[in-house]
Amino acid sequence: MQSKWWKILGIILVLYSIIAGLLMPVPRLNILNETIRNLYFHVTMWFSMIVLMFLSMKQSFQFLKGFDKIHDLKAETYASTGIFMSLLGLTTGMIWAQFTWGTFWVNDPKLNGTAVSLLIYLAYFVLRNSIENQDSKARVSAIYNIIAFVMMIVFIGILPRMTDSLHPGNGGNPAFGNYDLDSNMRMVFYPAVIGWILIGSWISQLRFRIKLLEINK
Amino acid sequence: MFKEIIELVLKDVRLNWRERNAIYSLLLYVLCTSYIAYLSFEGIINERSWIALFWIIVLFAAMNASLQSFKRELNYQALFFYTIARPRAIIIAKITYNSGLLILLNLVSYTIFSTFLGNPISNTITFILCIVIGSSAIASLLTLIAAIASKTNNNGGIMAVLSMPLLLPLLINLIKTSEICLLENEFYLVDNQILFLFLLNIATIILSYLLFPYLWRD
Repeated sequence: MQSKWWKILGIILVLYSIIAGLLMPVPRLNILNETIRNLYFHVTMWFSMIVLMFLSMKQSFQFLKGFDKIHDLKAETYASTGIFMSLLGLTTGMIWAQFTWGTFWVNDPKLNGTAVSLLIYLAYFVLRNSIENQDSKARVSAIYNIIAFVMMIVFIGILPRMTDSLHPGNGGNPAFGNYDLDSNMRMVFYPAVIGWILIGSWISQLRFRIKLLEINK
Repeated sequence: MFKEIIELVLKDVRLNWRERNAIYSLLLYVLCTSYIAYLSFEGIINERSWIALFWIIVLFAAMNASLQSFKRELNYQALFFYTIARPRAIIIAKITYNSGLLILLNLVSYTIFSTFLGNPISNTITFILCIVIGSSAIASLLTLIAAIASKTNNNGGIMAVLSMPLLLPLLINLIKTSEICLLENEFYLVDNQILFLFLLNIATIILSYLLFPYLWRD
């Protein structure tokens, strides 16, 4: 908790990605046009969400090893920050879809996958609130969290690859790598991913500390 | 371990055969809903609705069936089972029993459904394979969720909230596979989907095998 360098790094990287993302040259593509800049803000949210959910699952694993309540609390805060990131990713994606595909919501396997994953994680919080006994609440929700992570990987990672999607990289669309190969974009995109992951972990750390204070009060 | 699982499955079969009314109520449920579907569609139904309706009825029957699966083990007989059986054997036995029950139930539903509403499926053998693998995938997922839900106060509500999102992709996949079975007679068109269902089933069983001991230990 004492080291500050990664928080500063996170701020610098996100600031850099906002400034450079809006000013740096981008490839001119049909339909996409300037909205391609949304890549720095939309895709990074999903990367950040998956990392946060992974950290949450890791905490749940550690909880099941030693039954230390701290890990349960950490798992919960990581999951809630992950949900927040996925809501942001959904919002940016919907705006992007409006400008490129013409509607806010399309029947696309990736969209369905994320909607289902969001529901699974919301159910995680419903489950937490419905158990009164503190010990069994922590244990049952840790178990569910592990199941939820595995299922989320199946739904957003494997299932969309089996069918056609409007998203790049699936079924006849130009691959993600095609425009990402542009070295200018790569120079913004990867720092943005790292920056948002760091910011996400920082947010969850702050929330965790607030919760810890509330409990100890 | 293997012997233990077989013993536990036989115990479940015997106990549930003694209290047959649960099984009969499931059959009656399928019969009623199929008949309601028949009356409301007046016997004329397009193929897509047939498939969607069939899987939705199957899904709710499955939820009703597995809701009861841990009512003995995790309540008043818990201590007894704790002393005589390993938790991993218990969950595998439960999954086996529920899969068997659901496969039978869904095959019966298929028969009832085609009696009332006709059978639009052209590739029946693949569709039956799809029912068998799909039912066992639904059963293993629902057994795990039922084990989790039995730890909460509001059993039925939590069960629905937890299992619906987890089952949704499975259901979409099943409906898609059935739609292919509707028109095409070739197996290779659906082999990917069937493989996906099978692998998801395996993944769920492995997850239950690994995680159930923690749920069990109270």
